[in-house]
Amino acid sequence: MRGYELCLIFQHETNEDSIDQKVEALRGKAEAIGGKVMKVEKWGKRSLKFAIKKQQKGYYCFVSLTGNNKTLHEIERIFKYDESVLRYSYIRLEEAQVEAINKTLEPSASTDATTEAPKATPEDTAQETKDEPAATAETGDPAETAAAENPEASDIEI
Amino acid sequence: MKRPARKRRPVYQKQKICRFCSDSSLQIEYKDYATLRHFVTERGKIIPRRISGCCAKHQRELTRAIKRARSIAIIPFTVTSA
Repeated sequence: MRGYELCLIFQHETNEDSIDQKVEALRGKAEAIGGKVMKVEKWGKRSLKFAIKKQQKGYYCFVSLTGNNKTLHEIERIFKYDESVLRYSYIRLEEAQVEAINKTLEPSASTDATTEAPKATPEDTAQETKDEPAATAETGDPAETAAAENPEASDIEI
Repeated sequence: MKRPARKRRPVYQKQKICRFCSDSSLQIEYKDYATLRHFVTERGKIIPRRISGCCAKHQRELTRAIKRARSIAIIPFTVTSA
């Protein structure tokens, strides 16, 4: 069994119940095959950096799961022709990452594994703005300042 | 008459340090827009190692993370000035 992380981008009009339903369906299928859904992380509605299927907004949902090639086939079968899914993609997780996820789940193993992501949209943006000056101040990154100062060096205008 | 050769002034450059090597708590994650955005230009291109100062290993990881982030619309492929 390998660990995978599935990223789903739903149409932003999709209501949360149907998203939950789809994730639960995936959980059922994965468990039937022998895998397990470890964590569901919902980011909520976010603006996409570029339009996907003419949509500028999407509902982000990340699902960490274990499984094998059959699970992946099942994922493709479920989401490929689903109209409400703008995009799905999965990446392989390293074993260390899988263990790390399992570790975080252990204390709350008795409760449902489905957890709301700590970084919801408003908090996330707030954190971003907070982190930004601190990060630059800490490292005093010469690279970044260099890149900012002479954009022609890094960014060739065509 | 030949001009005497001008002495070249040596170019001093501050040693660039890999941000991820110096701070092990920093993780490269494709979902982490706040970190990745420092390594792409305003136009959305990946900043080369020679400028960002990353070590080869972390630049590789960064590149992978940025490309993954692009595929799920967290980072743009290009930014065209409108």
